[in-house]
Amino acid sequence: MALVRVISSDGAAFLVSQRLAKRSGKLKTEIETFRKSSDNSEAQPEIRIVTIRAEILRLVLQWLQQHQNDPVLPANQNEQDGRGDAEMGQSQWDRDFLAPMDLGIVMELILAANHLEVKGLLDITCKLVESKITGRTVDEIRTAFKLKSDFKGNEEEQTRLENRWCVEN
Amino acid sequence: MSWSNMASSNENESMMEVDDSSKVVSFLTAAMPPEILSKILHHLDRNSRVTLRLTSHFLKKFVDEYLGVYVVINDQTQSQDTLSFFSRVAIRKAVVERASVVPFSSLFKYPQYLDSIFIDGEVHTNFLEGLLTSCPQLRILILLGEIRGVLPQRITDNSQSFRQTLMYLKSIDIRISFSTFASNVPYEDEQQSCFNMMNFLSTFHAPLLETCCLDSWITKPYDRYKVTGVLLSFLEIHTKLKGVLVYFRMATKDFSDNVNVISYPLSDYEKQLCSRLKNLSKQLQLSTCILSSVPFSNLWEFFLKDQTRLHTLSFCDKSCSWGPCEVPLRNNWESMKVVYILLEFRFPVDFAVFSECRSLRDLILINTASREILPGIPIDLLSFDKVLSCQKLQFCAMSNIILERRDLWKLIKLADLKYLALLSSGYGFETGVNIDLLKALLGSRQLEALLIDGTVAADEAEAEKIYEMMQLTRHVDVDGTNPTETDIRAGLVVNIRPSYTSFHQWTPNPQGDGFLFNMEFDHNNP
Repeated sequence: MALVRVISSDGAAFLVSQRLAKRSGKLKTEIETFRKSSDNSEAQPEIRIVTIRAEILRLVLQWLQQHQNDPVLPANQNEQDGRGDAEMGQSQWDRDFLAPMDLGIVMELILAANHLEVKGLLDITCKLVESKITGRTVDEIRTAFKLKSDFKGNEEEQTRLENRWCVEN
Repeated sequence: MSWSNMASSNENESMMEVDDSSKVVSFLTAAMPPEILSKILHHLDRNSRVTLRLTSHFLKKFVDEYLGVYVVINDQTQSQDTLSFFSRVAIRKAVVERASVVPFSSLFKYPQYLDSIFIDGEVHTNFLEGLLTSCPQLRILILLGEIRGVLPQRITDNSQSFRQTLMYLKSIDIRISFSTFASNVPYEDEQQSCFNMMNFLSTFHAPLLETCCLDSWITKPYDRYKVTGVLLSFLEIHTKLKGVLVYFRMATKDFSDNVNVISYPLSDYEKQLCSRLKNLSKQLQLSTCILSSVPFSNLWEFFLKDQTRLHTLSFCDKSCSWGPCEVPLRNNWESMKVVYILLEFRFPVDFAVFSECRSLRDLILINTASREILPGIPIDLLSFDKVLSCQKLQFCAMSNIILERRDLWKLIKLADLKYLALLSSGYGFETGVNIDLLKALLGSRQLEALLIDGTVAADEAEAEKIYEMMQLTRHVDVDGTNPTETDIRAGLVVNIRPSYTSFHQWTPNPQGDGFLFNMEFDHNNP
């Protein structure tokens, strides 16, 4: 089985089958680039991902492993109307996978999925964050996302007045 | 596991913004790439977007200038408050009920983020020009009203910005009207409006267009051929189309002029149209086709036979020149998922065809004849057993159609049926809901929504009782005509007519913003 070594920003190395790795658009490109530039067709590619730490990279690979038989979605599929996301749905496995994660990990996972071009993972993580916002109050959102109000003076009140029309309708 | 962790030693490298004073990592900040933030927040409902405006300066700015909100613009929303709000935020989707009263630029501060607009009512050419030259993200354009004024030459000449707007357009609805019902609109203006639209269409090329809806109102039979000519030109250059709705409506009660049937000898112009229609069947591969009273209907039938990917079909024809009894598409009924049949006259309906519809998911049978043309004579469905062989049926709506009680019972028992609409009389329950029916409904645990009207149920209280007993999560009661926005907001989209409301599935928003509209036509496209 052809393997590829994927190295995280903090130096952790993961040996992954190339078939699995190619389900990431980014890794697929890197492997193909390596093949073109390498004289030895048997050589094992090594890919450094300088923006993703081991804990997160492990999660991405774990997700890919679970979804290795899913159809690969184009990165821009239904980007505008969002039907791709809606139709995809989440499996029970996905829900169990995401359940123990705190928002910090989820946000890192989003960035990693985006960087590695893993659309399915990007979709479910984005939807999870979206669900943490929908229906929440301002304070709840601030708490969940560790946001500090940076409104000064009556700016917040002014914004509330602007919103009034929408809220009342 | 085909992979293994071989080492893990270094410190974490945070990708988030760190507040040094508290060492708290914040999310949803400017440290997030905007395209990711946009993806996360893109599907938020309006209320959540508005709430986000209050959380931080950055998110307020992001919503206002990038994410946008959905709005309905009408006479009631012309207040200073509203306009002040509009002047600050990007509007992503808009339903505009009066596009003639407000300048485009005053409503759309950031037109570059507008992706869907539904203009219900007349639109002035100035507004249209603003829309067509400054909205490169526009994907869905629905023009239900007429165009007033004359389109500027720079639009019809295909200006650069106009072409840019059309570049990614996916769907368009347009009405061509050769007639008027408004007494205050001079006939000449109506004609001008129509020529405006035809002129507009003749210069229109959206290379990625996937659906088009052409709704035409005409008074003179020959006008049908003019509109057909424009329609064919439009279809010939939009070869990526997957869904087509063509709706010819006579603005007269005189149905006797049988203009659909080809009468020989054909004029040269008619011959040319027929030839183009035949060629078109080789160029287009549709998944959805909704045709109503189209000229040359028997040629359209040949056209449909070549559409091997078709899974959604509606056909109706006031002229009786063809109908469901003639069973078009004999070869690919099996793949059909959605069928609408609008029975305008008393056809000798043969529903045997449904025994072949093993994949049928939605069935809508509407008989308007008994109500509008042949009062008191509803149509019998002699072979309804065939419909009951559609075991995958999920949505069934029927209006003015007599059903035997045993057939209704069987229908309700279909394993996958989730939505049932029974409209107007004809079930033999004129005195109210039969207790057997009620029991049958109660036994149908999988039913998620039920739509009945006042004739089926004796009164509202009885209907409420059914809803209550069934513990339905969603229900709505309409009068058998097009669903209103209120109905849509109630959470159930009722596809009971092959019109724009059914062609564009309106997605009910849990927060009550009932004006998100998505294309539904290919949701099960293999």
